[in-house]
Amino acid sequence: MSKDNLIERFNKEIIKVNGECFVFKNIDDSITQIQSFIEKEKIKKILINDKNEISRSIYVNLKRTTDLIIQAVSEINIKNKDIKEELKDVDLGISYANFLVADTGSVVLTSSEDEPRLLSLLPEFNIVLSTSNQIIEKLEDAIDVIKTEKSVTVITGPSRTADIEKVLITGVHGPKKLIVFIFDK
Amino acid sequence: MNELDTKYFKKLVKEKLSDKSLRTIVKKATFHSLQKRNETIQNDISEKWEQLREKAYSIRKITIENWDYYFNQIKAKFSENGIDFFYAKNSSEVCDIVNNLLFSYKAKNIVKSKSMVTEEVGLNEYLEKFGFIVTETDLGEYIIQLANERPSHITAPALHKSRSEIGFLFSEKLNIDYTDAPEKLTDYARQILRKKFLNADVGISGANFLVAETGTIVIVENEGNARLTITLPKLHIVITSIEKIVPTLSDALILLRLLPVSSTGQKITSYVSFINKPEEEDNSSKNLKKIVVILLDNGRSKLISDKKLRSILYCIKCGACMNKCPVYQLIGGHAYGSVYPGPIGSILTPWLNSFKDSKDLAYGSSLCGACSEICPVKIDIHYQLLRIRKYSIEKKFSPFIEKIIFKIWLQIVKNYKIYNLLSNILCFLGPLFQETGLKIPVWSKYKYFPAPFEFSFHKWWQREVKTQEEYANV
Amino acid sequence: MKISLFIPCIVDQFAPQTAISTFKVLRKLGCDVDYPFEQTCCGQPAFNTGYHHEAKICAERFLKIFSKSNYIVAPSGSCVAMVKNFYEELDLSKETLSIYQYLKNNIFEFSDFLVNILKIENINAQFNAKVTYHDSCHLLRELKISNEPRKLIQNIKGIELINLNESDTCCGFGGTFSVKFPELSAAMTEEKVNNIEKSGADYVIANDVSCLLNIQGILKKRNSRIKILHIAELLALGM
Repeated sequence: MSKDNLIERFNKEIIKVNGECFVFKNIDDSITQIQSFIEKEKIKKILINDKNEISRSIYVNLKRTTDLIIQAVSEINIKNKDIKEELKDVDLGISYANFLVADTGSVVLTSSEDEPRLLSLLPEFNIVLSTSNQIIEKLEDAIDVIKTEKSVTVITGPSRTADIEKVLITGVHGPKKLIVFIFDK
Repeated sequence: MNELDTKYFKKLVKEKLSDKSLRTIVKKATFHSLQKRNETIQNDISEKWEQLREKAYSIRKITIENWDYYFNQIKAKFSENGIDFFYAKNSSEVCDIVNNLLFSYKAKNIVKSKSMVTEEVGLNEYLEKFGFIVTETDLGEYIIQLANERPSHITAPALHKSRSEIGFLFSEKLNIDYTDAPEKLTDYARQILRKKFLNADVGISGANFLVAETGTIVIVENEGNARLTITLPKLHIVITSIEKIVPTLSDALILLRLLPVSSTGQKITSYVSFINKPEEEDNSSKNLKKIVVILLDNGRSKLISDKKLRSILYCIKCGACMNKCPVYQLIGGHAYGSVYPGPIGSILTPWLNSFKDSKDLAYGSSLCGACSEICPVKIDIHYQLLRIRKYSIEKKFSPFIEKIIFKIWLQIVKNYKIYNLLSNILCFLGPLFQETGLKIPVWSKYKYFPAPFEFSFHKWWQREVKTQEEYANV
Repeated sequence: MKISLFIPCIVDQFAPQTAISTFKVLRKLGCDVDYPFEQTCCGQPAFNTGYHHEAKICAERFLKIFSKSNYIVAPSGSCVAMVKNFYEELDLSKETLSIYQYLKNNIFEFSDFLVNILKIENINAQFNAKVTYHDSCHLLRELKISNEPRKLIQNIKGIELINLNESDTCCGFGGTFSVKFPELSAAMTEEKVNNIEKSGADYVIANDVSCLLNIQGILKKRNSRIKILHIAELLALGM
């Protein structure tokens, strides 16, 4: 599958599971998108995984252009802090994906110091960053990573339940919204 | 209401059959899941479903046939990965192990994400006796816990409850204004359970697959409560049963293609967690979080050693057989009186619990085979029902009168002359009952029972064909 | 083509017209039809209730009676499935096991035999009516037959085959089941009959007399105008 096909497929699949996906040519466009999202959802506090060129630059840009509380995972030195406490008031977590899976519209995250597992789980909203090079066709293509990491989480759309009369509700224990940004140069 | 026990199956069936609103709600829910399943298989699965089932079947077959090999492999992998492991022979062993762990961690608040095996064990009741505060965090399980009931479906525990019932339950137990809006009820639960999560000392979960090759624990869910259960507390206890092992990670990924589709019609659930090793606590490398895996046997290894019965343990707990079962659709899960309801429950329960008290479950089926047809791992469910019936007769659990009837019946069908004689008498009398039908106890209360025709086919053949042919042959 | 008729006991006594129709249709299609007269029951009632000892005696008897047959044809999916598939579960003697290995490939349900062996999908019949078709469980799931009867029905001139909602859901008979759980069985049949009535058909067609008589049990209770009809009878009627 070509890169464009993978993006198209991923987009099609994530929409089916109530997720959203945006493709950007550059960082500036994504900043505008995040800003309008912050406004719309009345976001007050953001925590971002900044251990990457893209996320680092988004972090700096956001810091410059908004007056919200924006923290980078690298800054809070979670070694000595309780991540639970840090995440308590965060309403938007910005993660960085290892892979995106085109076949199912899924995000593959491995846990690490930069990507604590709770970052994509506790806040009400979750934005996941990645590049078009990280899209794989099937989950099977990530098998080596799944084997070697301490733990891997595959996320497909927002948290959901249908436990009451099969009515679909998003945002039970995990995020109410899941938005994936794909950077494609 | 009768106590929920398989002993009362027949009584419970009658009771549930008369509950028309239950029937409406169960039918609606099961149809919804089935419809979504069928749509996904038709539109969203690239492989041929039957081929996928075949693959899944062979994975489960190989695993169960070589269970001891994979069991040893996974044990070694767990210890290599720093995961503590316990094998529990029966329910009370599970309870003891958990109890000891909780005491050594000085735990008080426990959060749980769905685990049918803990239902089998009766863990909640046990822990509550010791003063632990146990909270179920899957929304359906939470509802059931508030109502002090048992799950009526293995993947949708509160399937039998209407939104208004849940509304009243929440307003009574949680002291909130009544609402029957699912999104509001869900939001209340989220708020309450979030606090429980943040204060939890220990998390207990089930597991969907345990990978022998890598020691990976695979947990499939939609709400995020399992992720919270395994991430937040310092100690994570996995409780599941011994047959959940799969040989390799790629095997697990194949089964993962079938499980959510069969269950809810989703191609994949919102979250799939693969856990290989414990994480550092607060990311400081010295204090590792602890993961403990407890595997319950409870009669399963005996099933594994029986070639004809072991396919029961191929089950990956998707619940599709319940959704599809015309009996389940009418009576819901509680009628069975067992922890595992529906077709899979009917073939598993008699071997795990008292056979005598639960054998009737196997008779509460028309043997239509819809369960076997939908099963993603191709368990021969209706054949297993027949095997339980056979065993029940061998163990002489059958009613005396039934035994006599079949003895007489055999003498008749063994001898075609007697058979024909009786058949001719019945057919001679038949026309007398043509209008009213035969009066058969109980049956005739609900259905007309036909009378025999005025002549049998044997008779007709003798009269019309045999004589002519014999004549022609002369 | 030489054929041995296997007429299930329930058909023998309760619906001989179905057997006669089967015989007539096969005859008309040029088959040489024989009826092993010593046959009684295939053993299914005992087997389904768990009485394997009794069922085995019936099975071995059945196999011996039909051991010389080329083709065995029966107007029932359930009883064919009993012989073809479920005999495997019985601990057959060596002698009868070898007959079984041979016979299980030569026993056919009526519509299966017409379409897949005789290669006949249209028997040039005519019948002006609206009909609907119920899939009998063992026919559908044990023998995997669902298109064959539909083809045969659709090719009848003047007939309108209406789709039956949930046509593959059990009618609730299940032999022993309907005696041990009469309320449950009846509730299932009620659901089936609701769907049949909603279809607007005049006749409900099936390949098993046991299902049809069970369905009739509720139809009659409701004084419904809808009639039951076995596929063999339907084909014979219009010939």
